[in-house]
Amino acid sequence: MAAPEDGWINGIYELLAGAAPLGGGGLPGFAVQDHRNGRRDLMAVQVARDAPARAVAVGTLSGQVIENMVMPVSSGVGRVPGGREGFFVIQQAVSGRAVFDPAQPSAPWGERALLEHLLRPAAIALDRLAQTGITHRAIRSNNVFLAREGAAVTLGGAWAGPPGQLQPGLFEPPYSAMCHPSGRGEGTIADDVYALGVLLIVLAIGAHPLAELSAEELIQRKLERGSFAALAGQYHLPPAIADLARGMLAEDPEHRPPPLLLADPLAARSRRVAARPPPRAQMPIDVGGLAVWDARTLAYAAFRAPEVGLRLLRGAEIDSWLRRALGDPLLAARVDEAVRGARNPQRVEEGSADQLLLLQCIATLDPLAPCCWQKLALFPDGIGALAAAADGASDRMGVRQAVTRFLLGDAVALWGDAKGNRVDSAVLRLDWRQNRMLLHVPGWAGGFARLRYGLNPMQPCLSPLVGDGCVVRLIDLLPALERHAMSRDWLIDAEVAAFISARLKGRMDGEFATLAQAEDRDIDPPGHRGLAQLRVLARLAESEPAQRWPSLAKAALRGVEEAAGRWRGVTERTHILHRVRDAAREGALLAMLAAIDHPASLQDDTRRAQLAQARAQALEAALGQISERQAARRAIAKHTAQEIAAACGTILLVAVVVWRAMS
Amino acid sequence: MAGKKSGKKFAGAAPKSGGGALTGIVLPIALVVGVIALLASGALPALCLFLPALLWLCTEQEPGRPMTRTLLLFGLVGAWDSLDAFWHVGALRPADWISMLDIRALTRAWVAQAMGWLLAEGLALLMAFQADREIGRARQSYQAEISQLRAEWGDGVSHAADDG
Repeated sequence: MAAPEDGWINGIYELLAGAAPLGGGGLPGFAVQDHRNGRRDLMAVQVARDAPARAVAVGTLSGQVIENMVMPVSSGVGRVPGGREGFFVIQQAVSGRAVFDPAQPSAPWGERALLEHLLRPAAIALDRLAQTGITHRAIRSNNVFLAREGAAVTLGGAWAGPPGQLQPGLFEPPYSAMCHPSGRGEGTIADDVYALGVLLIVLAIGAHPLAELSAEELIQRKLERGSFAALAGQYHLPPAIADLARGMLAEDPEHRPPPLLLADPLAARSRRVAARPPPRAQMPIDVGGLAVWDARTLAYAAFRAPEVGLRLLRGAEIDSWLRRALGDPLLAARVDEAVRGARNPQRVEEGSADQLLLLQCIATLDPLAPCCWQKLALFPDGIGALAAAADGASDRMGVRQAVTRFLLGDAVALWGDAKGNRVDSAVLRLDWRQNRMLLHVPGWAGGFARLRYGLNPMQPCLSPLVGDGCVVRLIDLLPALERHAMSRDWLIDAEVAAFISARLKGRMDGEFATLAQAEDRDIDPPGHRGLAQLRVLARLAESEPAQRWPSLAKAALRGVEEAAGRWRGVTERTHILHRVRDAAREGALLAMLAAIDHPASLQDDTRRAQLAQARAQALEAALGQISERQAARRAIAKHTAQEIAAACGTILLVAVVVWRAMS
Repeated sequence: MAGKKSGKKFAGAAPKSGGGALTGIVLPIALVVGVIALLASGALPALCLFLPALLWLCTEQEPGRPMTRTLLLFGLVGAWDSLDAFWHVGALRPADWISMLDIRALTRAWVAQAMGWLLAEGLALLMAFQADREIGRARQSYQAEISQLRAEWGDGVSHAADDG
């Protein structure tokens, strides 16, 4: 099977030359034409290898239509002319311009335009999206488009990368902004409402507020003052917009108005959620050079400076500050309880006591905070995208190690407990145990790679065995392996095994355990590795039984010939080898497996070998007895001869006597 | 106790003393009488005729003395004429002894006994050869079958047998 043609995706969508259309959401986009129906209002967005597309969103939304939102249409593997293979999400293309370009600031929008052309259509689209259980997480000024003046805006694509990965901190709630870009998780539709609220302010003032601040300073400002006050406090907004934005930028997602309510701005404006501002201390506490006045900023400061935070926690400075300066003895008692729990000998033994203490204390101080683990903040549903980002050169933060330790420890459970009823603790624990189990699975079917592929159904296979091919679907794996099979001794490595195991939901784990054992310990009971490899390849070939894989079959034959050594009978072994070689010449992997993987024949061979062994033993015993019998036979022969001679003598004597008597 | 012991000793010694009396007194007397009778009856020539058989009788250790038996039978065949003549003459004169022991009669008797020996030994040789041939055939057959099993199932088959 040939590699994808240059300029084509799935053999259906042709990449068109010319300017890239809008709506790629910050990723490389190309205009395409659907050759089945001639449709040209589509675009292909290229997915980065370490930031897989949103499989659930693409799968659920493909074929659906939501007004004023760029919807995914399909996905597939293709090749940009002159480039390497890549994975693309096909989606609707957008015309017009982005609603706001910081490089070319435009005039502020009026209240009516904001409500009619931005808020209402976007809220209706988000409401429709929320009904599918999916979030957008890419609402920002350069990903919301205006086809023409006076028209409703269109929300750009958000499906070709992890949720919220390309969002600037400005458009994200502070708790999401402090996370690793790939670890922000799916979030909720309230996060989209937040981003829409920020966009409302940006268009109302005609500028990005607080653009001069760094990402950390922006988060700190939002936490200290509240998002609305931090972003819009120094600007004079129209009263209706201010009321709506205040609600949309509430720190607690539960306090933000749902999209359906925003579709009726008057009703949304009238809804006021009484959110108490966080209590402010009488005097600040210094944490890593940051003057902290309230509990949630304290949590953020402890995350930024974990060593200082731990020292203050263990030294009881934070406890006394919470009791005396902040006047919250209840919170102080809960933090103190966490500090005492950190003395658990098991945690100390595992070396994770400090990290768990910090995580628990941050979650206690600020129940809205994400999991803060080893200088890495994440939401547990972002583990998959984070695992994908952790590989290769992008693993500068030791993300892989941090994620592994995060899942292997009790961090998720402690975080869930500290969050109380804000998360579904049962679901959280279930997901965590499943992920941890994937890490614990021995051999090639488990570990970090298995976790990565398991949590990212659109993650391409990263094995060097597929060359520069982009393999996302299991059905594409054999063609890629076939193209590079001749240069390899073995056709399956740990990455390919993890990829297959994830896509087949662990149905070939026994074979992968055999392969890993043979690789790690350099032990290969005759042909077990070759047979395990052939079983995997044949399992993949089942989807296209008529397809031939000559290169794979030829490469696999070396290992399979060793497997034929399991038959002890030369005749049967020769017969099997003959059949396997014939099948290999034809490139028929299934026929090869059928010839060599024959338990009944093997069992019969074993039985016959046992019979042969028993027969050989009997014969050798008989040979040993023959020497002993030879002496006995000679004695019998001698005795018999003497008896015969005596008989002859008697007969002769009788004859002589009779003859003499008669003569 | 002492009485019992002495009783046992006496009980065991009685037949021994009886056997001693037999070999010490009766047998020499019987031998002397037998020799006198033999000489008187003229059986000495007969002993000469059967000398090979008598010598064999002294040297053969095999139970039942089968070779002696064969020699005697063949000796009887060869010496029948002499014995027949002796039976009819019944004389004790030395001249008759000489006529009985002429060289031809002696030769006939001894050749007949030699023929008996030759027949017994020849047959024994022939039958041993036949037995060896059968055993050799069986050995070849077994070895061929083992080789065939080795060729089909590998050396492990017979090695396992060796281990066993």
